[in-house]
Parts: sequence; structure tokens; C-alpha cells
Amino acid sequence: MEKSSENDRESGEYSQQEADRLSSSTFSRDSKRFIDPLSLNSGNERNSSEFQDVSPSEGSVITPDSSLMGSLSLGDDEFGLCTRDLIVRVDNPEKHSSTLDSYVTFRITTKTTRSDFDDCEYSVRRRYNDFIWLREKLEEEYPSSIIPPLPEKHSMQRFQRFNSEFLKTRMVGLNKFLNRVADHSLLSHSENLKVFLTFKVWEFAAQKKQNVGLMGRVSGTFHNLATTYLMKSRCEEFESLNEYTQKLSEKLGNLERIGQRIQREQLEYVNELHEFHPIFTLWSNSEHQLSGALDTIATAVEDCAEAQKRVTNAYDLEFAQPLHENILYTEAVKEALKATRCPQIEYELTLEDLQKRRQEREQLLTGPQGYSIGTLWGKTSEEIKTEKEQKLNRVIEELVRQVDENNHRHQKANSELQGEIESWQETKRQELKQLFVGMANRQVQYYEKCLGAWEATIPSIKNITTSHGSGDESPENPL
Amino acid sequence: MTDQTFENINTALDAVENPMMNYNFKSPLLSSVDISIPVFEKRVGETSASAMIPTDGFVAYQIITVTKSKPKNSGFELNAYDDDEGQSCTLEKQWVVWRRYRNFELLRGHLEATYPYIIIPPLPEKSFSYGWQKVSSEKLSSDFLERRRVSLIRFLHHVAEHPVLSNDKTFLAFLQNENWMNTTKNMDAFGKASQTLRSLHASYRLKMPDRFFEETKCFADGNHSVISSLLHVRTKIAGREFGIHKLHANYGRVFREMSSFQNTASEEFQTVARYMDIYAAGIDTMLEEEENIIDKMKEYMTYMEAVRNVCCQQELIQFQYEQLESSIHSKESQRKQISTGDHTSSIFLLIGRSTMNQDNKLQALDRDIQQLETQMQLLIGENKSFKQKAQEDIKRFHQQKEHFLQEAMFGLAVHRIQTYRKNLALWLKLQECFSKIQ
Repeated sequence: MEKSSENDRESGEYSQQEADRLSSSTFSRDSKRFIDPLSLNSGNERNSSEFQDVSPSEGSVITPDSSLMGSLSLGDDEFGLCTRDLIVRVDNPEKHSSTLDSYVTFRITTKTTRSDFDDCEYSVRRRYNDFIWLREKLEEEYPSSIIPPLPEKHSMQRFQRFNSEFLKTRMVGLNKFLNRVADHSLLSHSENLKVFLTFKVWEFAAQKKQNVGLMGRVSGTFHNLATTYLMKSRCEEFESLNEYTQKLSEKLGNLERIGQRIQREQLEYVNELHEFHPIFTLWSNSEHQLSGALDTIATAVEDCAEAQKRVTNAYDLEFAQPLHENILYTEAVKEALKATRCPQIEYELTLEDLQKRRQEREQLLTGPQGYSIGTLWGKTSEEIKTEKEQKLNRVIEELVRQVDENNHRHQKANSELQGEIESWQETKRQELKQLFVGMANRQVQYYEKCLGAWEATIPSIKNITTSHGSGDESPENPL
Repeated sequence: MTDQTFENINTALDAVENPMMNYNFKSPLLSSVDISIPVFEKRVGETSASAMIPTDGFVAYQIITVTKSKPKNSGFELNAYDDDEGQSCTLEKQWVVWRRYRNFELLRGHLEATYPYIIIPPLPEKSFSYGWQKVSSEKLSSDFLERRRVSLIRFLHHVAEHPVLSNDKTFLAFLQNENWMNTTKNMDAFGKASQTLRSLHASYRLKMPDRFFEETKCFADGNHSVISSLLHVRTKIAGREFGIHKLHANYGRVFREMSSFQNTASEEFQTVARYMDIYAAGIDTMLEEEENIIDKMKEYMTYMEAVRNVCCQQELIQFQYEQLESSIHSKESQRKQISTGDHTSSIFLLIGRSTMNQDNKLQALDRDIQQLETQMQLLIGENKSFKQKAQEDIKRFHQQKEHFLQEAMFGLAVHRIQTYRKNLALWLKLQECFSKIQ
């Protein structure tokens, strides 16, 4: 396989920010305070020399990466870094071309103090599809948890798979995903996660081939049941949550689209303003008395263009991406909600079954014994009846136990999910609020700058001394 | 404009106190009257000249000319042309007439033809358009008519404050009575004017172009193209600003929808939606108001055309002069040839002209040369007076334009500032709103 290495400087850049993100990840149930995953603390300086990584021998133990530790020690202390026993990072995308196909892999670095890990440090390479595998496995394992979302499979802007911008965004998204999983009190103990983080390439490939899940998160039969089955004990809360996430995801999608359109218009606007101000400069060359004023107008227009540019520059990072993440997360919540129905359905099905059997028993005890095959064997109707009764009793016993178990399970799932949903609600609220406040802030700054720019033109306009000579002719200022 | 009025009134008042002081009776009309176009009306017209075109509606503008209240015995007279009764003007007199756009065009054509050395104020365009709105602006929509009304007033004011133009009989008649068109032979001047204009666009190669007019023409052309591109880009920008604002109304809609199911921030979202709607709606008035300033730019641009015309007129005269010059030269050289009996002109010998014919020839040539020289003298005189008057008017124009443009720029800056202030306040409120979300 040939490898063509990506721009190392880029991964160096990324890691500067990512290091900060590592220290302020979210969605751990234990966190009391929400920390914006996108808050960019002033990072530490990094040498790209650390990433002069050439041939990562899979599964090799890397020398203590001082930078990793260094960045962590600079992080938020109140978050209690010492409680984190599993630290992961995704970086260093590399393109691999083989005869059949080419793809990109990312390096996953793990540091842990957990006892169930054989080593304290690992470094492996994984590709996007591997992440998909992991996520599916987590869904199976923890049906009532909200599994963090993966970044989009396809770029909305038809980027090439190997376009560096796209790769960067994907890498950031994957890193976030993995960190959220690692910080999740339940998910981080998943066996599949361990496999993902530690297995060497060939081991991992083998693992993937095994237990190709027949049990999807909502497996085939259950899926059908779920769509057609009307739950008897309709959980109101569940229904309203479902509806809520549906609507939310829709509205957030709308906001995203509107934002994109506005962004496009604003970009064009900047260009047109840059066409505009040179005309004033040109004009000022031919008008003598007015040239000062015209020049200041030209400057004002240019300043407005710059101010607008600042808005459009910030759009992607501070609005579009967080918004999109929230949309993905809402989708993940929807899936979790759907999956939680399974235990509920199971429970109700078994309950139904139990009731049926009980009814049967009733009938048996009270009703006459009709003909049955047993008579062929020469048994008396009495014996047959007792036999049946005994069988039924056993079945009923079993069912009762199952019902209990299922009930217990589904209650537990519900309450777990409740907890996660609450924390998601909280985080989502904060994130969206930040998003919108940021947008308003940017607009305020933009208008402040424009106002300043045009106010600066007033003195020179007033100072135009016409050839009349009377400078007190300045027009009335209605301001 | 206003200051000139004051200036004139002051001069007049001075004259009252010091009757010995010489003052110019022919002060511009605008100092003694107020001209306004308060209303316009849509009317159904008479059948137009060509029977093919059915009776169509047109718009008539009402022009009211009112004398300004002035102290008695100011010595002012409303200029020569009184109304039919021959009454001399009393103090408070008012004339009301109705004119349509076509009449204005004819008037302007007359002025152009009669005063080629004067920069004639421009009329509003035949059709406006809001470039960014895809609304098909019919010729007779009320916004369009309103803008035209304002521009027509400006036209009348410009003419009325011009020291030369305001004394024009046709113009005065235009303001006062119905048979104004009879006052001039230049009524097909409209046709003439456009003809001359076309010929003016052809450039002449002058041997000795006048420096001042060359420069002025360059100035006019340069400015014209600069402003035309300014207007073009500005239209794009206006469209863009329009789009951006209107898109925010979509935000409003979504926030409103969200407020219905997002219980924790329902009120805030509602307020946000309201503000977004205000933001989106604000662009309409903003752009409309800015159009008024843009109209001034257009006017300035059209003025450049008028300036160019004057320069071209001068070139025409110069060209004619140079043509005459060269004719005279050639005739003189012909004369020389004949009188010195140039043997190279063997044609004459061949045909066997007698000296008698030669004399006739000489006489004819002499007459021609005489004629041409008289013409030339006239032309030189014409050129001189033209140049003098035109230069004066151009200087006047430069002075006026500075004030005019200063006003326009000031208006633009003030308007922008007001708009930005409004928008800033809006977004500050939005900022507050968003921060209040729990």
C-alpha cells in the first residue's frame, strides 16, 4: 500500500485546538457544569515535529506523548481531570491507496489507567467505516442510551473524499464522537469500544467479520412490530418527547438552510461592496472640491465590506457547525427513543402472553375436556386435563418471571434514558443559546462598525468649501 | 438654491434702500415666485396624432406658481410676459396650469435649441425602475409618478433660478397659460434637438480645439461613465441588501414555530420572531428613501450629458469656422493660380479661355471669398460670444454642483447612519432576547 501523508502542519494546527477540546468534553453524566465543546481556550504551542509520524506500527506503544499530557494539565481543573481514566484522541489523517480502493485512516491514540486494559497507551489506525461499526455495536449494546452522532458520511458541498477541508471537519467530528463515548459512564465500558481502541488491524478486521449483527438496534421483527404495534400503556411522556424531537430536528434543519442562504447572499454582498468603493475613488479624481469627501465615502464602503466579511468568516465555525451537530444529536436522541420502545414492547408482549395463558388455564379448569390426541394413548380425560394444567402452570410461572424481568428491564431503560435526555436537553439549550447569542453579537458588531464608518464621512462632507467660499453653508444636520 | 434666493432678495431690499445702486432687474424668477407641483391626475387623452394608437391615459401635473410675499415697492416686476389681460402683477398672484410629461419635453427641446451655450437642466427619465425588484413597474404606478413629480419640480426650479433661462418667454408662458406653444418657432425643436444631438455625437477633428471645452467635455464624459457604473453597482447592492433582510423573515417564521413547542423559551422566541419581522420589513422603506438620493445622482449624470452637449455645440461652431477657413484658403489659392497665370493649369489654355473669362473667374472667386470672409467674421463673433456665455454658465454649473453634490452625499451618509442605527438597536434587542433564554 502506498501512503501519501497529509499535510502534517494541518494536523499540528488541529491538535492545538483539539487538545483544548479534550480537556473540556461534554455529555458525561457526572459533569455538573456544561462546557462548550467548541470553546477554544488559548491553546498551547505545539511542534508539528511530534507528528513526523512516518510508519505507525499498529498497536505499538508510543513513547509518553508529553504534549498530550501537557495539554491536559492546562485544561480546566475544576473538571477534575484526575477522574478521567480514559483519554482518547483522533488525528493524523492519511490516505491509503491500494489497487482496489483508496481510503483515509485516522490515528487513534488512547491513554488509560483502567485495569481492564492491558496497557496504558495504545495507538491504532481506523477508517470512517470502522467508526460506523463501533457506533452500531454501541447501539446494540446500550439500546437505551443516546449514542453520540458521527459526522456526516457525505459532505453537503460535494467535497471530494480526500479534500483537506472535508477531512479536517470529519476528523474533528470523529474526535468529538470518540471523546463523548469515552466520557460516557456507560458507553465507555463497552467491550466493543475496547476492541476498537486496542486491537491491531488484522485482529480488528477479524472481529468485525464475527457476529455480524442480526440484532440491529431495532432488529427486523421488532422493527415491524414497533411500527404496527399500538402500545397499550401509551407512555405520554414518551409520545410527547418523540414529537418534540421530531419537530426540533425539523426546525433546526430549517434554520440551517436559512443560514446557508443568508451566508451566500452576504458573500456576494461583500464582493459587490468591493466593486463599489473603487468607483468613488475614481470619481474623486475628477472632482476637486469634493475629492476629500468622496474618498472618505470610499473608505466607509470598504470598511463596511470588511465588517461584513468578518461576519461571513465566522459563520461556519460558530454557527453552521454547532447547529449541524445539534441536528445530528437530535437524530441520535430520536433513535434512542425508538430503541427504548423495544423493552417496552417486549414487556407488553409477554404480559399479553401471560394473560392469554391464564385465560387458557381458566378455561381448562372450568370447561369440559374435549377430545384430544391423548385419548389415542388411552389416557383418561382426567389425566389429560391434569397434564395440560401442569404444563400450563409451568409456562405461566415462566411467563410471570419473564414479565417481571421485562418490566424491570424496561423500567430501568426508561429511567436511564430519562436521565440522558435531561442532560441532553440542558446541553442542547445552552449550545443553541450560545449559537444565537453569537449570531446576534456578530450582527451588533457589524452594525457598529458600519455606523462608525459612515459617521466618519460626515466631517469631510461638511467641510466641502464650495467655490462660493462660504463654508457655513453646510447642510442642516438632522441627527 | 435657498441661499441664492436670499441673496437676491437682499439685493432687492438693498436696492429699495439705496435706489442709486444698480441692480439687475433680470434676477432669476425663483426669487420672486414659488413653483410647486402639488398634485397629478390621471386623465384620458384626446386621440393622438396617429389614429392607430387608441386613446390612452396620460398623467397631467398641476403646476402652481405663486408670487412670494414681498414688501411693497420692492421694485420687482414679474418679467415681461404678463397674462392676456395685460394686467401688471399685483402682489399675491397665482397661476395654475396643467401639463403633461410631453409638454415638459417640448419645453426642454425649445430651451436646448434656443440656448445652445447653456447647460439645460435635465428632465426625469421616461421610465424608472427599481432595479432589484422584479415588480414590473408600469409606467403609471403611483410610486413612479411620485418620483417623477419630484423630479419635474426640480427641473422647473433649476430653470427658474437660472439667470438666463428664467427669462425665456416660452418658459414663462409655460407656467402661466395655455397657448405657450405659440410663443416659439422652435416647437418642432424637439425633433431638431434630437437631430443635432445625434450629429453631435460624431466627433470632429478640430485643428485647434479649445482647451477649456476639451477639458470640460472630458470631465463630463468621465463623470458620466463613473456615475453610470456607480448606479449600476448600487442596484446590485440594493438587491443584495433586500435579499439578506427578507431572508431573515424566514428566521422569524421558524422561531415562531419553535416557540409553540419549545416551552422553556416560548416567549423569547416569540419576541425574536417579532424583531426578525421588523428587520426584514425595514429594508423596504430604507431602499425607497435611498432612491430619492439616487435620483439626484441620476440627475447629476444627466447634467453631464447637457454639459457635453454644450461642449459639442462649441465644437460644431469651431468646426464650421475651420471649414470656412479651409474653403477660403482653397479659394484664395485658386485665385492666385488664375491671377498669376499659372501655366500648369493648362486646361484653360486648351479650352482656349480668353482673358475675359479669366477676369470673370477672378471676380467670381473674389465674390466668393468676400462672402466667405463675411461669414467667417460672423462665425468668429458667434464663437466668441458662445464661448463667453458658455464658459460663464459652466462656471456657474461647477459652483452649483458642488453644493448639490454635497447635499446629496450628506443625504446619503445621514440616511445610512440612520438606517444602521435602527438596525443596531434591533440587533441589540435580539441579543438581549437570546441571552434571556434559559
